[in-house]
Amino acid sequence: MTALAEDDRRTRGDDLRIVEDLNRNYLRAAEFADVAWYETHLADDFVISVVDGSLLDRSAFIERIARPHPFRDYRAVDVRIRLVGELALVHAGFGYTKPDGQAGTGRYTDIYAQRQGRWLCVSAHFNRF
Amino acid sequence: MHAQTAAEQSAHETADLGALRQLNDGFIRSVATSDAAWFERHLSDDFLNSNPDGTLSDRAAFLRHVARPSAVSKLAAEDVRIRLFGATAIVHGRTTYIKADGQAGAGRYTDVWARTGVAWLCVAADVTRC
Repeated sequence: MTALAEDDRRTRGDDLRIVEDLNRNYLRAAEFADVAWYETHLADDFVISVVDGSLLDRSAFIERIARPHPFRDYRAVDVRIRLVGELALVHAGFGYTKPDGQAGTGRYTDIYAQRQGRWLCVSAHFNRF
Repeated sequence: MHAQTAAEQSAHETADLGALRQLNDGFIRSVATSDAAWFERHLSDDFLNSNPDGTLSDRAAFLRHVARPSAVSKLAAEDVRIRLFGATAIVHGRTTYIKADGQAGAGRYTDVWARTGVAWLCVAADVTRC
């Protein structure tokens, strides 16, 4: 392996670890209404497709995240992270507990892009059942 | 090799956006008509589809699924937004369709495309049906 290829592999490994950590915190911030986390990690042009089929921009999503909700125990299932060109794609199943104690499921695709050396979330698509 | 001028970059972006708009139209048309051959040409080997029921399909499973007659009719896309990120792109769109029971339905999708050489291939799709 050439030095360049080794550097590239190290960089990709670092990027995967960073995005893995961002994914963990994305869920934590959603469960605990951590608006500050989203203010820091969403790109200005972030948009999200939500469960009712509407598309929210950054400010509408942050406003929604700040509201109390009745769900808990958010967890990601079968997380797959792929680096594709300038983007990082996160594909994951989603588990949570409903107010009546029943288990709920979902799925999401989050997309991150590097801006000024930082990975910022530029898109999310979320389904919950 | 020379540095790309602003005019050249703008021309390339315009060409990419035009190509992606056509591919997006092809994607919707091919779902509606169960045109698996179109998807054979335009999906990457590592394509993943997040289905409306919360399952995840790889390329082969998606091709098998799309080859079956569609459960909805008059599928159309609107509010299509295409965003370029160098050699990758995100397409956001809203769908409208008629369900098997005749009721109107709507949904959303987010597709990701990557350019390999001169061709754009779809690497991921996430679909919501309401």
